[in-house]
Amino acid sequence: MKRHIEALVPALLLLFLVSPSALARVKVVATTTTYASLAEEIGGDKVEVFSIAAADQDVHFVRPKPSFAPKLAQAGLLITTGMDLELWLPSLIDKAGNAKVREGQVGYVAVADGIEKLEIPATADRSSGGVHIYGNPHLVTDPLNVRKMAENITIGLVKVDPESRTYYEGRLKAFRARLDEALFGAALVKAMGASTLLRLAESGNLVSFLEGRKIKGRPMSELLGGWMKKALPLRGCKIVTYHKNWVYFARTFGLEIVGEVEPKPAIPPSPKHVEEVINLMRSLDVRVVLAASYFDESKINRICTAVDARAVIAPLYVGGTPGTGDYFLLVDHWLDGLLDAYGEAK
Amino acid sequence: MTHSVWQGLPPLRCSWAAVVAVTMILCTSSPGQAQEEGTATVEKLSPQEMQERLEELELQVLKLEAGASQQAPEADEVTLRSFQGKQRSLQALNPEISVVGDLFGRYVDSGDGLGVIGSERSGAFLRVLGLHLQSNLDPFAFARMAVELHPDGAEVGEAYVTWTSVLPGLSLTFGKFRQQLGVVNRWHKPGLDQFDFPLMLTVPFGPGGLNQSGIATHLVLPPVWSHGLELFVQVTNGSNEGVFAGSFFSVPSTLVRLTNYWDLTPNTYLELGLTGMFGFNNPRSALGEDGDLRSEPWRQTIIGGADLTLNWEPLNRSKYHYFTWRTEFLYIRKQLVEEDLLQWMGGYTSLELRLNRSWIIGVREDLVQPFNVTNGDRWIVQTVPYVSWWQSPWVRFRLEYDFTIPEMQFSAAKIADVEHRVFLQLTFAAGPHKHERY
Repeated sequence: MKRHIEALVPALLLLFLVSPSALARVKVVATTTTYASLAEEIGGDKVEVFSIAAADQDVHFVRPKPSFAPKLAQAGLLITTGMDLELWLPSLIDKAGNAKVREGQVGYVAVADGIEKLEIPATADRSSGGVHIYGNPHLVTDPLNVRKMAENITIGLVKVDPESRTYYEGRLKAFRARLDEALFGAALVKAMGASTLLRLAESGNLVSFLEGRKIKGRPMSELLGGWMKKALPLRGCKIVTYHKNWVYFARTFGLEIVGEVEPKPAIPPSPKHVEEVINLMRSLDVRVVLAASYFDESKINRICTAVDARAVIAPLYVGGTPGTGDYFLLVDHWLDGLLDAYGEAK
Repeated sequence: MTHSVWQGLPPLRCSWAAVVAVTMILCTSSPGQAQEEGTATVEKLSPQEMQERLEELELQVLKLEAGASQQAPEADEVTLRSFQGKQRSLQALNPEISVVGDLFGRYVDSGDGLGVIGSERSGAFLRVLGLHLQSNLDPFAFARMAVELHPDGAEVGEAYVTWTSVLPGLSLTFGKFRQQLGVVNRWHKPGLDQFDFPLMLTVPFGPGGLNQSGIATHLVLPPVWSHGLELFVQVTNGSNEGVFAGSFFSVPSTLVRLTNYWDLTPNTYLELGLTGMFGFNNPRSALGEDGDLRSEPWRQTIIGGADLTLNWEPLNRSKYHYFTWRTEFLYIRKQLVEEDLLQWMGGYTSLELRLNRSWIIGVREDLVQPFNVTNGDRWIVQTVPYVSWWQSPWVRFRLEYDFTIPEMQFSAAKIADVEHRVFLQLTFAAGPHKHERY
């Protein structure tokens, strides 16, 4: 009996020494469920993640409820878009009183950092509605941007938990590989390398580059797989969106956005503008309207009924509807919805 | 047709790539040995290896084609230009500035046909033009200022510096600020749900509510029994004329507030606030009628308050719908000269419903006592229904009707007079921010 106890002592001592560090997971607060999901992808079992905005919520308009303050007060890392999307966040940071997660500090990550922005206004003027002076902040709709976001989140995690650097970088590498294959297909990534493909995709030249070129006697386009291949039927298709949520998505997958249901960002659509959208869709034969699921569907339905178009109402963030539990499933959900809509509309 | 595959790529890329490919092949041997060793290498390679080698080179060429950047060659001659130092163009460091305007048209009627209630007349007026500035001062503190321009002049609405994170969860503010006496006292008039503050604030504290200078701490406490727990402690000059000593204040007033917050469901929350305030209302260092320094015993003012807010807001439709029920109550006990005692109570309850992205309807019911010693069973009652229309997030119109009974005795069921006011209000915000209520 005594021997058993003696054997247990070192084990208990070891448990006592190891447990605190094993249990000391990095507390991450993210403004959206997509950033939370990315943090879980990179952080694995070393992070404990909380999302402020719900998955089906418009992150422009989040009520900074007092119950968020204790979460932020205890956070080791805050992940936000940066730019001027979450204008409610600074007051919440002020309220939480956590110096580590203030802008510029070790526990603050702006995922938009290093991503090329679209629609940067030449003049910041409210006659253009809710302009974003640093460019369109709806970066999450483009997997190319999300690849960079994952890197930024990794940087943040390494800064607050440098001992686990190898772990986070390993998971980033695995995530990037998975995302590259999901984007381009394994065969093309193997043949061309991800960095070349990413450069081509970012410049909008991937498909035109692949067309007409051969490798090993086969057209290069045959190597294309993943979302880029899946989205080929969408290339050049005209579409109306509710808000300027989808400009990055359209750039990468080749859709042509011809108008918005909102007359200007953040301005509610008037009956007159709705009629203008209907006329526009008729004249250009636009048969699909794409909207984030947090918008009022009545205007969309009215437009779609008037022009016999299909509405694709999709969550903007991970988990916004069943079957979108991670970013890969979410992009599949977007593409499937659009392909179905264009298929039905033909 | 060949050029169609080069969309977006620089001209001459074909020939450039070919040169690279050839160079790479030739680089496998030195020029002098090229023919002999090249032949020998080719002879050593099997047809399959040759094919693989060619495919590898083909891939290299494709990668180079895809990745090459369009760089202009560096010129040997410089182009002359003027230079800008920008030492006097540092506008980007200016404070962030927003302007909030508040204009209204008013119709008043007290039933006497005069079209006047006290100093209030029918007409169109500018209530306030608020200049709101904010800026980080350094890595540790930020400042906020609100300058209010009225037709009668200008005043500093708020001006304070806040040090966040003095200690974990603790922030410190120094300056002039609207105090955390309940919920709505913290807000500026253009940000209110109705045209004006509830009578609960204007009757005892004056038209601007409670706004004093001093030091404030805010502490986020561990949410022991709720989902959010915050403690406010504010020590300020007792400069409010109605409740404290006014401009002859001496001893500071102290406010303590505990805010409890519960998320009942993801879409619904409940907030309960308890506020207490203590100060003195006798002027110190003031001269009496005889020219001597007045010396009198301390006269206390004690304030107790409670507020309850229930909010429902469906998260995926927060732009379109919410419902808020808010009730606040205040009790004031003010010692006066010659041992007179003023005891006062008042409160309000309000309901607000957002119908869609543009329209909001609501109603507020006020019930307060007159702020004097003879206010037993005397009440002021006011009913305030309103409808607001948001043209955009920066422009709002509001139509409001205020029905007021200035004196009512419940025991005698007696109503002396009634007052009617109708407001059409326009509020606008120019600049990066609307006035933030949170």
